[in-house]
Amino acid sequence: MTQTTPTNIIVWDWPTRLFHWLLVATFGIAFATSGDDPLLRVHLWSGFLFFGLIVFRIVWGFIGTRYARFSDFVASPAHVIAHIIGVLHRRPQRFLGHNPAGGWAILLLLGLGFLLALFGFLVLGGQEGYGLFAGLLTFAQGHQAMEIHEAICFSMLALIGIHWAGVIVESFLHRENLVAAMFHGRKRVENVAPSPNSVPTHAKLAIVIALGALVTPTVFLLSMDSKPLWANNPGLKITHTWEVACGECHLPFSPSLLPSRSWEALLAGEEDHFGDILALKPETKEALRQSFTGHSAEDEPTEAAYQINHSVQKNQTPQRISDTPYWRKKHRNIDVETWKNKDMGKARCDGCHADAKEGIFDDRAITWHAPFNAQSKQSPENGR
Amino acid sequence: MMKQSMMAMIFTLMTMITAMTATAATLEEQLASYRTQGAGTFDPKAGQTLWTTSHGTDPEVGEKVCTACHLNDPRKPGKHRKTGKIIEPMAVSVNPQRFTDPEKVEKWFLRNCRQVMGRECTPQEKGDVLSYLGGL
Repeated sequence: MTQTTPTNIIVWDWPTRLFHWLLVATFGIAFATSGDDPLLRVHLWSGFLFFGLIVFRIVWGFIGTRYARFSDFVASPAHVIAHIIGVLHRRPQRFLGHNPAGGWAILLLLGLGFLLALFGFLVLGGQEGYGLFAGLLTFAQGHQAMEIHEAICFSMLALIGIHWAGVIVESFLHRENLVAAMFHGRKRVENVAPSPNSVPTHAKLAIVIALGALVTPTVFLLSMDSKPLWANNPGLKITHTWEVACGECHLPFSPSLLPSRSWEALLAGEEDHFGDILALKPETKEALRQSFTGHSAEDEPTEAAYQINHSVQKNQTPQRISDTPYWRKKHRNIDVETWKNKDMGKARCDGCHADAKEGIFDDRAITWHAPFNAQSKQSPENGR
Repeated sequence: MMKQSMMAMIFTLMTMITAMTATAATLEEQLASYRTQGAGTFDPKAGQTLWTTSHGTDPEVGEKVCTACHLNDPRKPGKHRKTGKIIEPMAVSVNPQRFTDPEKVEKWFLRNCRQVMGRECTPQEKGDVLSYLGGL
């Protein structure tokens, strides 16, 4: 093939390049900080940015420069198959922008990224009780959303693998560094009249949209932070009898922290309530039963209720909240000395959980965290 | 002017006296009700003895004595042995709220007598303790 003078032109405009690497960074950070607890905040921030970036890229796919547009790289299935056959014969056609297979990978990644963020919002609303969908979903629904959120994430990881394979293979076959091209944006042009491909004037508009997409969720998150749900939440229902009968000796633990069979067992064993005689009147007993019926761990929509109930084996009837597997898992890093602190102790949930009495147990209402490097110690058995 | 402030003072004094007698009357009523249940004269000394007498040691809970949670000096706040919850002072002189709710009084005598002595208290014992805590 005869060659005219090879020239370099900008194929990837700077917004596309910036988008690409920011998306990589936010995805990576969000992936590394998945799960809840102290890093949830970082996960949320990167997730919000990730969402803003995806929204920008979709808009940019319509109004961006030539090679950034969907119309440039979304090819028909026949073209995709033809391209893959070409790759298998080590003689693929060269495209300045995305090749037909790569174009679909990009489209799928964007689509999955959008869904990933969307389900993230649902998880946030359902499991943590704040954000766009706060109060609309129960914890159980939030949990289902999280499973989908994770499945989408792993599909994306698989696609990223294919994306990398494509980049490596095409770089090798065409003897060009595609990774570097995503940094400087330039690609070699042979026998094609170079057409100017600078960022057009309406880019400014797009950049404004992009900024909006980044800033809006940020502001949104800030506004959520200033008013955490638990601060205004009236909390779960505690009857007067419950508050007095339980609260005279200890924090009136929310009925949502144990399954109803546990409360039933505690009522039955009231003559030996961890060594204390309760001597409850029959009418008090009945009022207490009414208090937990329909408000136990299996009934309430909060995270603590859901997780405790699901952590307890169905044939087990724990009589202490601190005997449930979920509670143990969550408190495993707290050392003996901390429990001995006068404001803490296992009967003093409110020593660290500002919303303990309301039964909410929002992550943001935790006033004291076990240090990160705390040794994972089995908490000592409760002496009776 | 003089007359008015005098009137105000007298009125305040009267209110205070009424309030004080109201409290006293409740404790008196409590003691009177024990008398109708067969108790005789109440002895604060006997009440104090009861307050501080140990009834042995429970392997699970510890020493069985009122002062395990309420302290030797009922004018000071105590603490629940296991949960650590603060128990407001029992002496009426520092905590006038004490023994104003007969239902609560009976509830806790029932629980704590069984807890400490392994049986319910007699009206005589309850009255002795109340006269001790009321007279501090």
